[in-house]
Amino acid sequence: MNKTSKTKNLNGNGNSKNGKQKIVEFDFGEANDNKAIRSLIKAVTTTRKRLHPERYDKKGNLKAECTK
Amino acid sequence: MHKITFDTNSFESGNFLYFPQSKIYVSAIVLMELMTACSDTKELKQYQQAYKAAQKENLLIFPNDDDILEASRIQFLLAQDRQDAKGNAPKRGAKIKQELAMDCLIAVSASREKTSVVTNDNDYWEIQRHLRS
Repeated sequence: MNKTSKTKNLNGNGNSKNGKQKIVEFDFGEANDNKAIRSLIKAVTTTRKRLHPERYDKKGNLKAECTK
Repeated sequence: MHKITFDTNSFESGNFLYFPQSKIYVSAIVLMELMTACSDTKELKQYQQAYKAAQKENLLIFPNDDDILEASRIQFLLAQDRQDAKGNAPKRGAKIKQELAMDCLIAVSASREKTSVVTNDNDYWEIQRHLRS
């Protein structure tokens, strides 16, 4: 049994590969789904992980308790 | 569609950013500030990649020559505001002044492009008071 609890998917984009819903920090919608914004989100996420490491678990996913 | 761009602190603060109804643009100055604060080359390269991709897709906002003039005018007026406070306002340090200069350029260039700046920095309220729009 997987220990990870199901969490609310904040961007409504469906489930991740393992069936668990993923918490995301950014939702810019389909209109902004382009390479530039995707690259930006990737870079900003790296910065945020460095600045706020307590908000992420060991796998680098945002903790459920940090959604509020 | 409403156009928005983000200030550096809104990226760094860790706040959730949900703007599915807006078209997102990226300030070249914000990217420069983020790149300056990178801790390693991996992070820097990610921003460089994002910069080039945004450049290709015409999503970058740059200050032009008129923006420099306008940003300088606003900074002058902000300095005057503090002098008019009859010495009660604490003097701004060099670092704060530099950050304010960048904020002015971000605000003025975004305003020219009719783009809203998403920020949690109160300096933008002061800048907005002096913006010609």
